[in-house]
Amino acid sequence: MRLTSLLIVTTLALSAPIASHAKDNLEPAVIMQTADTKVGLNGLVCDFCSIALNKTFKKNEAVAATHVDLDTKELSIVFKDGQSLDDETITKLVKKAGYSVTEITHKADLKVETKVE
Amino acid sequence: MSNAGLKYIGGLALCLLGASFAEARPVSYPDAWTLMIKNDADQNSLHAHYTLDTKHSLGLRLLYDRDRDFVFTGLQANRLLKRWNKRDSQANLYGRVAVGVVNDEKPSSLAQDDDEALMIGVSGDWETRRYFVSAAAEHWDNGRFDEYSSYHGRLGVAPYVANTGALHTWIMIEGHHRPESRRNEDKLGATALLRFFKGPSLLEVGVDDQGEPLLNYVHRF
Repeated sequence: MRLTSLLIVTTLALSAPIASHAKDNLEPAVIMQTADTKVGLNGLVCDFCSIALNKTFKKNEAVAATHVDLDTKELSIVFKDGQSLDDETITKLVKKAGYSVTEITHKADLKVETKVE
Repeated sequence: MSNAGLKYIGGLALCLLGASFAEARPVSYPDAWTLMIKNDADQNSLHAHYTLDTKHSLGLRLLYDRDRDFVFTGLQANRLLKRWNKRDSQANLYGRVAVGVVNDEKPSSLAQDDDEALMIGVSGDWETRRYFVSAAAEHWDNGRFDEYSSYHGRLGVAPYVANTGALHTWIMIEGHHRPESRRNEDKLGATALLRFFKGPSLLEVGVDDQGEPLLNYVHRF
């Protein structure tokens, strides 16, 4: 029993950082597909804009991965397990990076909308 | 109207429309370092700055002025005065001030004569993913190395629109007006250049109407 418990705890302890690390290294296409939140943006015209937004958001402890798509003018955010950011904080971070928000869509909201339909 | 007159009006129009490279986007995002290197017929310049907040950056500016043969070493502060973020475009208005010392490029031990210098400048830009327009003006008071102004302007077009992380290419033309230049051929001129932009790096390669090369580089850290 003791040995089983020890094995379970050890496995969980080792797998948690691996899972978290995996989220840190997601490919852009995966980030866009699995994003917890999508943010529509104004002022996106070049790669420097993408870098500014990515670096600003990645400094936040709740954020696992981000990707800015210049074509869709959207920032995709994947949060760490059990974490999220409210709209006010997202708007503040976008403004800090030098841009403005047009809309914020959370995956959870989309699921609720789907259920209602 | 004479050819010189037409050239003057054309140059002034460009100056009103475009901007000098070293002053483009002098404020990044908070806590970011940016390195800007400019080399053309007029000067070699380096500006390494740290962005303090959304509107301010502060950094080192080194400049060798070929026309007057002096070196400027000082601090430059940049302020984003206003930004307009639109769905398909962004426009910016910047102000900047630099203070420092100027000295001869090859100071002799017998007659080294440093002086203080002050620069005040303003620049603006508007760009979409396809078009680019900017303008900049600077006034330098270099003590015994004279006082002068310079105006730059740029027009650019991207032959294709690239997405995030891809190589972005721009075809640009830059016009300049340096009324107090000691070389007549440098008072008004134009440079054709290509801009290559990928991720945090931006490289510009060009040649001016006197055949002089241009090589600029920007990196955001």
